[in-house]
Amino acid sequence: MEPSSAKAKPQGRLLVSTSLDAKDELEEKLERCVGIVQSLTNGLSERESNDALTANVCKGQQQHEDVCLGLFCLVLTDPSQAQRSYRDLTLLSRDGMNGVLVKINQILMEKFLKLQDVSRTQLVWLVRELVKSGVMGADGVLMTLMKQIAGGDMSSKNLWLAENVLDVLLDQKEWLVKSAMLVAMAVYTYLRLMVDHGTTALLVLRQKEVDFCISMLRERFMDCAVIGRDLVRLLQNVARIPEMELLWKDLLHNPAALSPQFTGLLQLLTARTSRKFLACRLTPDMETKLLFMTSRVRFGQQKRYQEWFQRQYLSTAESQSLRCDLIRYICGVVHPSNEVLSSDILPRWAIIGWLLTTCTSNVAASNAKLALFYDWLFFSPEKDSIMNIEPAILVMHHSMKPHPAITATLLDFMCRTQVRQGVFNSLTFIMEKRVLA
Amino acid sequence: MMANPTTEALFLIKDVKPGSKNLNIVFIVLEIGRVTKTKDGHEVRSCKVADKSGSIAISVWDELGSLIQAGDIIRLTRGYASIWKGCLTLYTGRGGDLQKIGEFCMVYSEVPNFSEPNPDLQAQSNQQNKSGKPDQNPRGNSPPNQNSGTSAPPGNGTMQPFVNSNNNNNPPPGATRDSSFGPTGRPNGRSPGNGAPPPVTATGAPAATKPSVTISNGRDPRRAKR
Repeated sequence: MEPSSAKAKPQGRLLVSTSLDAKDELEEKLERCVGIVQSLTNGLSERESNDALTANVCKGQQQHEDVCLGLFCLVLTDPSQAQRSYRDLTLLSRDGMNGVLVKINQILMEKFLKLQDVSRTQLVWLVRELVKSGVMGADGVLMTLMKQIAGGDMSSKNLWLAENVLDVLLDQKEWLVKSAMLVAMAVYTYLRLMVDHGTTALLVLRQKEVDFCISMLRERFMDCAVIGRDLVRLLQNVARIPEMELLWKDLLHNPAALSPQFTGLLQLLTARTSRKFLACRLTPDMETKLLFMTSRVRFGQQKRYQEWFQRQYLSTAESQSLRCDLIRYICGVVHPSNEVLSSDILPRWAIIGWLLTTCTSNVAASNAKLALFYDWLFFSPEKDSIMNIEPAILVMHHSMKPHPAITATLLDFMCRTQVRQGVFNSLTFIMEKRVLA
Repeated sequence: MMANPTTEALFLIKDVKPGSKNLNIVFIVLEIGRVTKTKDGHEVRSCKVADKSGSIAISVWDELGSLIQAGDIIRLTRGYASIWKGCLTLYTGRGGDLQKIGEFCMVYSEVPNFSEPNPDLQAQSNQQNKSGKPDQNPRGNSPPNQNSGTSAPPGNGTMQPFVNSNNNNNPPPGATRDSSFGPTGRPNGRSPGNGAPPPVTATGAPAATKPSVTISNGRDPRRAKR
């Protein structure tokens, strides 16, 4: 018996895997379906193949699913036949391609990092085709695809994805603007991503991103305004870019130029940003790991998880921008139940403390602090949630003894901002709700 | 519970004893030890792994060893446990496997460390070896002290790796992994051709030793006062 390898496992065509990885059930299923399609069409002419597949699809739900998923997998794994496979799929599908969309979603949310290069390219191609065909649900798929673009990640794969998704948006502008939600998500995404693309090598990409965001902001401002106060935070981060600087002038001095319904910056700052947006800048893997930490890991046991997370996502200079996204996520999306809050599970303020204290640059640190306090600035008890401001006060409170410097810089930071009313509201509310015992 | 052969008799680490066989365990990898090369050209890594009941060392050969990473959640099938240098250690048995089924999302307890050196276990294992227990595993998958007749020359199987009371050979806290080798560069008590590596410091040393892989994040969490 070979000492070196485990049982030999044939490499699938969809996902990258090693001899250590367990078989992937989705990949196995899809490849089984490819087998079914191939056995039905082997050696037949194009016309005969179509007839054979059509006949099979009519036999029942299972056969319909087998054929659709088989064709779908062929699109992903056999680029030379992709056009034809896709065309067949659109003709044969009887459920508006819903079964395929479900699998696409599963691949995006669970397997994206493991896709082989060809499959990843093909998946993006397929999403573009779905958009062009006007398939219902294509906007949701595109949003999920956008979510896979990781903040702070300068790898060529990630940059490729950023650029290619943007190309779809630019290409399909007419379709895009029909969905206010997609417009807002896309603007949120690319305002955030352009922060990472300031190097000379990426100037072309960044200009594309700037042009896109500016056009959406100027043509569909109220769609973008739905984002709320984090839109201001994002715009602050890119204010030095010339086109953005011009936009800021209008935001501050001539809001009507952007939209007759826009009354000014305060309108944005007093609107809490929906969790959808805060979450869209974390990849599924980041979310899974953070949620695990805040729901299952006991306080005192977090060291290794932090190390692993840091090693994967926060180890480069460019990755520091991700901290703000993580902090906004923890403040705004992770709202533990009372049960978890009263247990010994790792509290949010501890994670945030970790994210703050491991910043490797001053810029990163001050952006991170702003991210932490953003909901304080214009806190209004009727519209905002205590859960968004609780972490900040607890970071300060718990840091007072071991890390007085943290508390000092945070307090200093808070007082320098000219938003005393919001801060006052926050503190009052915190006292009322007894966040501090 | 599914009647799936691989989930039958799913063990916890705390239930692992020297001589345990047919072990099906799911664990998370905490640390990967350094590679050591055996005389016959294989690579072995000793990794610290854990589940909710405690931690233990596992020795992994060759390719699988190079693929494993800290944070991986792995299912061991048909593993067995044995004493290596006084420390309880897991191995993949014949027909067994290591499969990565996930990463990160598993709670564990690092203590107790069931691979802490235990003089009682060592004595027990000396007895076992004397009785000439049959080989459980094919070459490359077994530690040399299983009378496996691995790449070692014939007659080696009867060699007792613990003859030299390895208690004295345990690295002191904070020592590097190399320290378990004698000044001659050959480990005490091990016969030529016996390729298995010493356990990494983290498993061989008392619990007070810091883990060998650490990224300091500059912050020690305060224990919650509840």
